[in-house]
Amino acid sequence: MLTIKEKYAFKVLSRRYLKIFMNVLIGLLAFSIVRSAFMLLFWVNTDEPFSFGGFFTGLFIQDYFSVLMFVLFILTFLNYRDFKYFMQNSLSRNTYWKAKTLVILVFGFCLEVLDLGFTEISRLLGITSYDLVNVFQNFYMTGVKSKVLLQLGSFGFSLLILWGFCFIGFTIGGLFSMLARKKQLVLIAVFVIIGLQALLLLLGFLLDYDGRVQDFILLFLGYSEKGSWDSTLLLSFSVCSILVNMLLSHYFITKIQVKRR
Amino acid sequence: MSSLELKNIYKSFLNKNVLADVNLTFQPEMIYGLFGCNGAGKSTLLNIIASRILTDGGEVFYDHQSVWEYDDLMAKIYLVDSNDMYYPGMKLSKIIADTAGFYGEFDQEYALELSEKFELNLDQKYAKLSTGYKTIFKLIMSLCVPAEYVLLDEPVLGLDSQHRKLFYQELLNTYTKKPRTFIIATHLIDEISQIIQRVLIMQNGKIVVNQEVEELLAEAYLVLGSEEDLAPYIHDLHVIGHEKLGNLHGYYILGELPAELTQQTTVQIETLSLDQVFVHLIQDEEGDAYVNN
Repeated sequence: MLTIKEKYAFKVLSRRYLKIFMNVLIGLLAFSIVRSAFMLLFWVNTDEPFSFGGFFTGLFIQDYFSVLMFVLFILTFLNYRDFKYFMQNSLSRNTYWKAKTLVILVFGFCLEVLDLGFTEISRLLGITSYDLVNVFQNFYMTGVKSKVLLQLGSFGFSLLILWGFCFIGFTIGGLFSMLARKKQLVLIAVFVIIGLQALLLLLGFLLDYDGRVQDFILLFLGYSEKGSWDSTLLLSFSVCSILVNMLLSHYFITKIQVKRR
Repeated sequence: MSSLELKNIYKSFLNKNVLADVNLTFQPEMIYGLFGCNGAGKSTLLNIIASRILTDGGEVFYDHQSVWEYDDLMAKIYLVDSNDMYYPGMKLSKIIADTAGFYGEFDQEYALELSEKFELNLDQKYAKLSTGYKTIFKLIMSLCVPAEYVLLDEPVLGLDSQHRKLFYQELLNTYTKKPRTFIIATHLIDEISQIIQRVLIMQNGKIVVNQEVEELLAEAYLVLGSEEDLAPYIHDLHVIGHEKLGNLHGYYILGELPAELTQQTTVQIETLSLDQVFVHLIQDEEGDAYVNN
């Protein structure tokens, strides 16, 4: 399992990320309060007076955990400063990669659990009434009868998507951490130009005739030729993407230097 | 404690060779001075030893095991240089606590004692420190970590003379209580010549001198006299420098002097400082002929 150093490395990185999450949450809450206070000053709806009760319940339907998941995704791009701190304490690049991978897996899992719990509590308290459905529930529910399994499947699916994006970020961040600032800017410019060109080509292909966009989306989401949602393409793609990006991120991280090329 | 070996180290930046086939062994419990001109490769060498940069060839070994990507062996080496390696918003006390956590043991008592001597407030955030106090903090950390090889790259840059003196005193104190190897790369040769035991001089990416300080200085002379008096002897000696004032010639010599020369009453012989040896050796085109391992 993990050595003492690896465990401590995970602890240090987790503590740093938790602090960032707390600051973001406090910022979100403060923004909500300030925004509401601002709206109160300019409330012009005479039919429905401003309600503080409504304001507080409104806080419960804010998508805090989605924001935190996005913050986690952004943090996966940022490696250089953490690497330097670990290097000063004589920790290897491999140890840093393990610690960060564990943080992505654990934090991603915890955020998904909290998001699910928060949503269910809001629903039980009657604060929200709509069902949050994701792609999994929409397209795979015909094959799954049990509500518990459906919920677990949705949870697993969301988790895979979050992890998938985070490891893509870790790979890109690892690549950029190897490079000096000028080379980073050149790479960004290349990605943007090639990305835009690829997007234009894809749009041109898809818009050729009406049915093509729909066919593409159905294929990507897992609609099989039998006429049902039982293709595992999206799920397989997510798992493969995670594994490939774990390998790539490991490769890039082991090449980082304090003096970047 | 085991020795630290560098084998066949090569490194180049932008097609320029910075280190060329460096082979070196550092012994335990020794204080080394690492000298060289700007661009000689000192910082690159120290960064490679500390695994901060990748080599183009060669490896670093501790007890015949490669140090690269091996946490336990990397923990035996600790480098302090001008790079800011800490989180700017982190308190110094937190950095110390983290270092203690990473290393398992860290002399926190001594760190507190040193912070008081240097008048450093550990409740401050790292980014709020002046350049001088950032250096002081890093030096305090280097004296308190349980590493066997402490590498100091220009350790006293930005320090006033009082703090420099205090640092050298504490370095000797801690070395006496808990001997380990210090490798100090600096341009202030005369300042550390009293504390180092072995000198390494780098030139063009190679080690040109690797010798005990006493041995090196025991055979380093400035020979002053007229051209007629010195001419018969000079060609057989290793001359690393020459100065002339009117008819008075001064030759900087490395190596044993012949008895006939030392007995000459018209010739004056003086010993050299380490700084003088360095300056003239670096200027000597045949400096690499003096490699002494």
